Amino acid sequence: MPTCRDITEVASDYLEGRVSWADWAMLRLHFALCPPCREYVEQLGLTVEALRSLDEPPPELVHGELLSIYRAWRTEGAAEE
Amino acid sequence: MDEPPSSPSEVPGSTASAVPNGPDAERVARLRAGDEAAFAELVAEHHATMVRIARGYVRSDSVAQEVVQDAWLGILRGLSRFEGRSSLKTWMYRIVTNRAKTRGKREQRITPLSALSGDDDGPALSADHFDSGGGWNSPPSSWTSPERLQQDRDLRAQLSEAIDTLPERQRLVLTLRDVRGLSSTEVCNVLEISETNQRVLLHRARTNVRAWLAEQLESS
Repeated sequence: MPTCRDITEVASDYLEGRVSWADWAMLRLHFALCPPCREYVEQLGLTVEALRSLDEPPPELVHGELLSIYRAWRTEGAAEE
Repeated sequence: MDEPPSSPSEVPGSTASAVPNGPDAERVARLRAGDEAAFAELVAEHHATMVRIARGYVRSDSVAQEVVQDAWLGILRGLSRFEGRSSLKTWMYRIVTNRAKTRGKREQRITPLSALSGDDDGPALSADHFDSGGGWNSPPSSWTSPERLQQDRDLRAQLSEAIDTLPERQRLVLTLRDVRGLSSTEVCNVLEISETNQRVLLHRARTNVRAWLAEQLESS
């Protein structure tokens, strides 16, 4: 039987669905019997959910500069044609 | 080599552009045609991530910004060779990675001390959480109002900052996988790391972020 410590080491793979069927069944059994590990993996899941919802604001300031790069590139292309 | 390999059928000096396949084809066509809205969209979607990637290899934010600006020009210039063998995103991120690596080597950067834990030695969760039999010594306490993770703006801003304090390779993998939603294959391609390495880094990064969140949500 895996220890709680072992469980925390595979918790991320478990959330990814990257464990074998046999390991998955063993993990489920462990979670059923061990509230702290259940709590742990649930918190890890909430962590991943929070990370997935972190959106980065569009960088308004750099837009201008990059747009000039784009325009310069267009001119470059036109010059070659 | 700077840009990812182009088509073997490409004739050097040829002015004809490769016609990309796949889901990015339309977008690439718009970019080549000079569609500024398409470019602005691309910037909004990817610029911040590109800076994060670059920051993993160079020593300051301003150098990272510089590298990424330079990479944008590289991307535009390489666009005529883009064939859609990988996604546009993966292709772009690889250009950034390559340039940042080159720049980082030139800088001979010193790896910063990590604020949290080591990069990939030892267990992700420190041994003192467990007794000698591997059972919980200090089991995780339950979180009060976990909905704050989705709703509390301050907490979310702090979370972003906490990510920045991760060891750099963990930060890169976590940002690309969890925040930006790249697949593990894409992350391995962009960062040129093995699948095993990717899994270990992701696991460690998530473990560290969970521990950080636990501190915030247990004490409140």
